[in-house]
Amino acid sequence: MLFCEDVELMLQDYLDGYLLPSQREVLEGHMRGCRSCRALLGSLTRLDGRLEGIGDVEVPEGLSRSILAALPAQAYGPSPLRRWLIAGLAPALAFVLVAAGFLFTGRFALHNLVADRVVDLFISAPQAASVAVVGDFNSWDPRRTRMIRSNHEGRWTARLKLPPGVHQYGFVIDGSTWVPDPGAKTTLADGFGGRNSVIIIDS
Amino acid sequence: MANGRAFAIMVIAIGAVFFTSSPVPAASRGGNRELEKIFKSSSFGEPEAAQIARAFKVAVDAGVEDRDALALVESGADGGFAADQVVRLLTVAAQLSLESLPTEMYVSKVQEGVSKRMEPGRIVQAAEFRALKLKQASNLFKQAVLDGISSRDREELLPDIAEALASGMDQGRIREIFLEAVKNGDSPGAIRRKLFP
Repeated sequence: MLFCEDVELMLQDYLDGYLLPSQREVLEGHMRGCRSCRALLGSLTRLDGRLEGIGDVEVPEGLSRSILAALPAQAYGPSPLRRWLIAGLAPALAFVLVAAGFLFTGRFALHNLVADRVVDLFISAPQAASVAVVGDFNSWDPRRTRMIRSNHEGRWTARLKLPPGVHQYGFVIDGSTWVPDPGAKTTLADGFGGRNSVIIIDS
Repeated sequence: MANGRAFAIMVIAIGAVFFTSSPVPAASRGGNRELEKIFKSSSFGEPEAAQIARAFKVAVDAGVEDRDALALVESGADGGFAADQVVRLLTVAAQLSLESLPTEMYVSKVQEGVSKRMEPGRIVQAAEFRALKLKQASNLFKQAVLDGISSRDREELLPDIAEALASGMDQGRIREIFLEAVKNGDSPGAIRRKLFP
């Protein structure tokens, strides 16, 4: 069962070709019966088309010189030396400020620069009406990552983008039954008498 | 005339000092608004909310991110915690932050417990166990740096070491993993895989 709010979250991935074939099938099934989602897809497709249609614009040679020449003399701004200083110092100052910001907040680490990885999770739950994936990546909130039933055998799937590191997660079936991922190689005690699955994303 | 000018300069100077040394940082003003929203939808009474707000400010002043401190209060409200339990959560987060330890893992354990509908006392206990393991991990990492591990990997590896300790891995084995990493030039990713075989 897929809700319109799930479709909204997935539409851009759908257009970008990031969805699994089974997820595409479910999404397309929903859209066949949902006029508002079809309309949303239509407007996104049109927007994509317009953006592609813009194309690259060549800036005519000497454009900036012509603009400056057309301006009154007093509007020219700083002298060439000051302009040179501003052009040279502004990026340097910006770099120093950004670097200082990172250092002072203590938030700078290499993994901040590494792109998230796409991970597909699956679970078989034929009797389930809903399945969510929860973990440290979504504040353990079952409302945030609902899985999609991808075939009649009761296979549920979710595609996540995770940063490098060790992530703990589990599945919530029908909003109340927590189960670890049967396909996970590693599980850890959760400190509450249960176990969490572990996924390691390399940097 | 000269006195008037001196007076004006003094007023401007005091104003500048007042604005630049405001006790509530800009980020916390946003945090306070969020905090009020949480209180409005919670069962905390006014004195309890004031008690939590004081602990919130202490935590943020100690360096806990607004986002993390708010997550703790929100989890406390959602999980039916008593005010003193929320204060305790914030105090431990402040302690971690003062020791330059990451708070994300601690906050995540609280959120996990609330999501799993655990009893608040048990959640506090499980989260504090993680906080303790973070401190042990920090001590182990200091030793690892002396052995040759790059200190730049601290933020990335500390939660993993703490989780390995929490899951029962022996400190001696972790030390061995670091020594092997120094010898083989292992990346943080390779170290992580050995921590969770």
